[in-house]
Amino acid sequence: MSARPTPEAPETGRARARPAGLLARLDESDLFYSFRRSPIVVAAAAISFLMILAAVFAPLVAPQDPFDMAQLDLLDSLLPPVWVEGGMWKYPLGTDDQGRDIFSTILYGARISILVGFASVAFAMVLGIVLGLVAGYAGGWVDSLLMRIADIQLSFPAILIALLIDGVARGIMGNVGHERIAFGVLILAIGLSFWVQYARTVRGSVLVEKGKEYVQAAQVIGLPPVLILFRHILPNVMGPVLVIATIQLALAVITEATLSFLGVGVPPTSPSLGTLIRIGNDYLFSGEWWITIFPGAALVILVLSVNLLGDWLRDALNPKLR
Amino acid sequence: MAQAKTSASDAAATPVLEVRGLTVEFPSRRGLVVAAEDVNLAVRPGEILGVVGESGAGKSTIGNAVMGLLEPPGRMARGEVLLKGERIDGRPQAQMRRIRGKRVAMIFQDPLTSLDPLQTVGAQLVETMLTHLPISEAEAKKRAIDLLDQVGIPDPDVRVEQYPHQFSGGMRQRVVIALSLCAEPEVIIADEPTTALDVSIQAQILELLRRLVRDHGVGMIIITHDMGVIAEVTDRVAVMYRGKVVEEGPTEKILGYPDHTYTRSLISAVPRPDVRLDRFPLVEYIEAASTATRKIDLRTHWLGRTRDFGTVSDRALVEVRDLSLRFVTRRSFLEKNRRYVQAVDRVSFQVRPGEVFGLVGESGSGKSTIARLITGLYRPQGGNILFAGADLTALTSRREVNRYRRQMQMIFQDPFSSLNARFKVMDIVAEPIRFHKLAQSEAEVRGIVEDLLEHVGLGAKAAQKFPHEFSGGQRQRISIARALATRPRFLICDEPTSALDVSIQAQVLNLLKDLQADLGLTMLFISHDLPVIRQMCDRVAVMRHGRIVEVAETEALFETPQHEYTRHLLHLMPRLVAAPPPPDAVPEPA
Amino acid sequence: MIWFVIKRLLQSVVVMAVVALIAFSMFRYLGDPVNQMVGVETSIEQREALRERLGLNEPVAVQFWLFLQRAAQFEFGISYQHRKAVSTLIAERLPATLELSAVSALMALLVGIPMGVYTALRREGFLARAFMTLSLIGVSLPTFLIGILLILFFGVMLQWLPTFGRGATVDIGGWSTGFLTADGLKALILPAITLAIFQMTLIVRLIRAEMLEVLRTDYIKFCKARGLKTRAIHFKHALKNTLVPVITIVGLQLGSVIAFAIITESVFQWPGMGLLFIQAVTEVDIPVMAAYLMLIAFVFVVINLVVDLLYYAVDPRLRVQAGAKG
Repeated sequence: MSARPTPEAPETGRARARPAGLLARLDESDLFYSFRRSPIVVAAAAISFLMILAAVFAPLVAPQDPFDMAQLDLLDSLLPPVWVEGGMWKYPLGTDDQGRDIFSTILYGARISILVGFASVAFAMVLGIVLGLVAGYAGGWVDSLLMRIADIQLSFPAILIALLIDGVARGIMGNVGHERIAFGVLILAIGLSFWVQYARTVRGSVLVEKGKEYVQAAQVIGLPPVLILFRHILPNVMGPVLVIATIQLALAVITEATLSFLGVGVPPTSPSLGTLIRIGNDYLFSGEWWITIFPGAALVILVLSVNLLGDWLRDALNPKLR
Repeated sequence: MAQAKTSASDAAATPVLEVRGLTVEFPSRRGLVVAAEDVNLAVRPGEILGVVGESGAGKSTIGNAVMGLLEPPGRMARGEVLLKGERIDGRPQAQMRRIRGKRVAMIFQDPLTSLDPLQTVGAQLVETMLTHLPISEAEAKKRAIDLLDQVGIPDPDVRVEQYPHQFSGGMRQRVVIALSLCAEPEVIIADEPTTALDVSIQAQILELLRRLVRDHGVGMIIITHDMGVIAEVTDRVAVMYRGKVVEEGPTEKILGYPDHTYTRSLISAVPRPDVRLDRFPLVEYIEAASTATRKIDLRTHWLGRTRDFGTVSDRALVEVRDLSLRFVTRRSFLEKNRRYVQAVDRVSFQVRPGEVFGLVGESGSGKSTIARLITGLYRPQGGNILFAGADLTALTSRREVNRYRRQMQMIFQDPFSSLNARFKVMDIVAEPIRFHKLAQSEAEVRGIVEDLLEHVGLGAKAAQKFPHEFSGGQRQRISIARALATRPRFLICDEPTSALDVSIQAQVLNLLKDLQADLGLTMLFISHDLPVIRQMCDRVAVMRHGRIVEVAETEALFETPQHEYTRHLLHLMPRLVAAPPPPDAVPEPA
Repeated sequence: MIWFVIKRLLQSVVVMAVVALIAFSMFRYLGDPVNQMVGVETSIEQREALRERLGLNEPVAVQFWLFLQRAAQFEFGISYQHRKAVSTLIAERLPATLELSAVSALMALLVGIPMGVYTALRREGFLARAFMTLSLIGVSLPTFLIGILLILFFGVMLQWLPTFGRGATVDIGGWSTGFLTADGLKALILPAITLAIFQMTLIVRLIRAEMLEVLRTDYIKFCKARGLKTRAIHFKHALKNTLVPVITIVGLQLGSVIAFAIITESVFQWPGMGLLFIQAVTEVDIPVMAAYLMLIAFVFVVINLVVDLLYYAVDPRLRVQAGAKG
């Protein structure tokens, strides 16, 4: 065993042989080690994965298609969950006023929530990364302009910006036309209110990386800036981007739910978890709490697991926090 | 100065601080790391004990263990720490707190981060005194000014009210020293106290420490990697290697007649300021990778072939004329509020084909900026750069620029950031070959890369690994292989070894010397380290504040310096007193 | 100092101008303002007269200038939906939102900062871990869901607290306050908690992260090596240094309380500006949207300015130029 205290730079004993193969390398990696060591994180990963899977395959998993009128029975409306008196096994989590199975609506709703979440995060990520790379690498007035815009936008909460974009879209399209493109508008609205985080982080990392000597070495070799940017710098700034993306996925799902709850999100014909909570909210006072609480619980569990993953990822990729 | 032993150390023979059988362990997921093993040290009042070793030797751990400040999960597994014969290890934190600062003080490496930025220097001094001494706030304030005066800070009554950011690096280290003196401690542990400072500041701080030890009769432990510091101030020295003290004794004895093989090779690896050697004596005992790899006959190999650069006049391969660049240090809309620093100020010099031309100066003298101007990383604001007769500053098309860029390459200072961590070594070294299409096929590229890695002493297998699997010295070899991959004829080395331990430095410098000779490379060698310059360069330019103050043949510069600043730098150069020539080194005939 | 303030003020003016431009474009180009204001039976002449009176026939630059002038006096015309002056509408609703926001911001700070400091100092402690778990759940709970849960529990099941509206208010010089009646205070409790929880969890996590960062610095290590008391190290050195970056973000967070009030107001039918705004968005009531946007922007600009000045007061590195060299 070579004597090497952790605080000092390793000079010896680093170049030992490593087992080959991806699996072995994964097993060796600190990231996977910290993952395995925390049961909560493993559980969070499993839950997120299962929920996403169940949502994506909702038509196969759900006992009922809540949008197929033929499958609905008004006689079964407003049934409580199975463990409450009057509940039926056919509807484990109860039914709403239309006789729709809550469990099935949750699966279909989660599908929409997750779809909007992923799409808007992807949109924000691409936009933010490109603008961040450009700002960081180009510098000068391009950088100043982009970062000024980012500063201004950052001082307004995402939800407000999303609301505003939605309002403008309604103004342009009219309320009826708006419904047809509601998904696009929603993804655009959330994405546009989220890009700043990526852009600022990527820009910051690019400024750090740009000063590093491996970039100068690439310049001395003669590589053109675009190649340096995408081949050398981009892979090195993806760590923090991944962390933000995870945390923002949770935020995007919340934002979508909030907008839908406020009635400006997805169209009522394809309800998300937020829409379901909004609809259920009207029955809260008459005692049918299950219509709103179960979609709410599903939302919280999803967001919480994703947040747990994001937290872990942030700490694991930032070793000095440990 | 090492001979100037204080009488105090002879008189008070009982050690003020003693470490016996100290063993420090860091449990980690890959097993127990023993950072220090069975370490015995003793320091007497008025004495400076040096603890010297290369990175990873475990020297910093000792300071932290004595102070009871080991970072978890590190722990003291065995041994005892005695302060005036009294055991202080293992005491509860509340008791340790009253010993820290009061009886044992510590000085850290980086003065820029050691002070609370939000409190005035005076407030920090007063707070420390009030914590340990039964005095009033007014008295403490008076003493604070007095202390600042003692550590050589001018206008102490004004500066006591200032914040840390208003002090320069050297001055901040003086403040840190004043803070450590607050409660008249019996022992001061200084962990690399001058490593972050320039040579001239380093000399002043060392002198100050020496004086304080003499005046206050405290015992001091200086932890350092720098043999120069050891020779300059310590009375006794302990040499550490991989967690163990391999040798301990009076400084002159250890430097002059080392017993242990490690000490001998460590000392022989230190570049000699007084005489130029052909090569660094072979350093054994240190890093395994360097030996026993296949060398390639460069004259027949791809590397040596097709060096059809066309002939250049004997006068200059690279010529720099009136080169100037200034950086904006404070931006402002108004012209008059802007501040600039003239990084390079009308610099002219020539590098002759086949020679090693040195640029030497303190940090901020503009030497690295010149390297970046020549390679095109920065654009000059004035002047010309001529390469093989062509004016690089006048070139416009990327193709033209790349044609010349290929002929000059650069080796950087930081072995950790100069390689892209996401690339395999194969791709790092192959990138210039692929980009400039220097080989016919991918198979040929791979062959060349493997040959290169063999030649720099890493072995062909290194190609399939990632940079983090290598040590600093090995990474620097990868950097060299990458620089050679464009078949350059001009190589710029920007402080190529200043981040490395001396033993590794010796190996890397030997490699550079060999390559230069075998390939007939022309080199621009940049360093702040005069002994290294003496060993490496044929001619030298001395830089200060962006200007060249003197250019001369190396030997002439060291023997008969013309400019006052050159003489000043040479005077500050640490010397290993009484070091005899290493056994296998043959001095070059003068 | 003077330069710094002037520079900041100029930046604020630019921000306001940009926001005004957005508001103006919405006003001018989203639908025809005249059509929105008149009935079906209005004649073409009358429409043209109105158009002339509103200045819609002037060049766009002049219109923008007129818009700015009116905006400076907070004149945004008539709400399409309510048929009342926007300024009157907002003036009616402003006190409700401000009271709600102020109370919850105070709650978030008073609970969040000590909790953040505690979790950073007792990193491994049981209570600290519990706080961190709670805060993670806190950030995972959408504000509206917190509101619904509170309503279900305290309103529907326990029937302790009112679940909508402001209760009885007292009018003091045009400002209707809910602080002075027991009814009004009771009505405030649930919405204020709802609004505070999300901000609070953010503040806890932020303070903790920043403080951990500071606790790792060399100067804290040096403080320990000097034997300073743990209390002094934590509260005099670490906390003060933590506050420097925290001020900015907490400032912005407080600003966002007003925006998040939209959700809370919607859940509790709280008659504030947020509720007005959300109705305006669904009904495309452009004058109200524009006015709300300008007002929020103004609040944010003011908060930013205050934050910058605070920063200046706390951090000597900004106050004193590095001059002396040794």
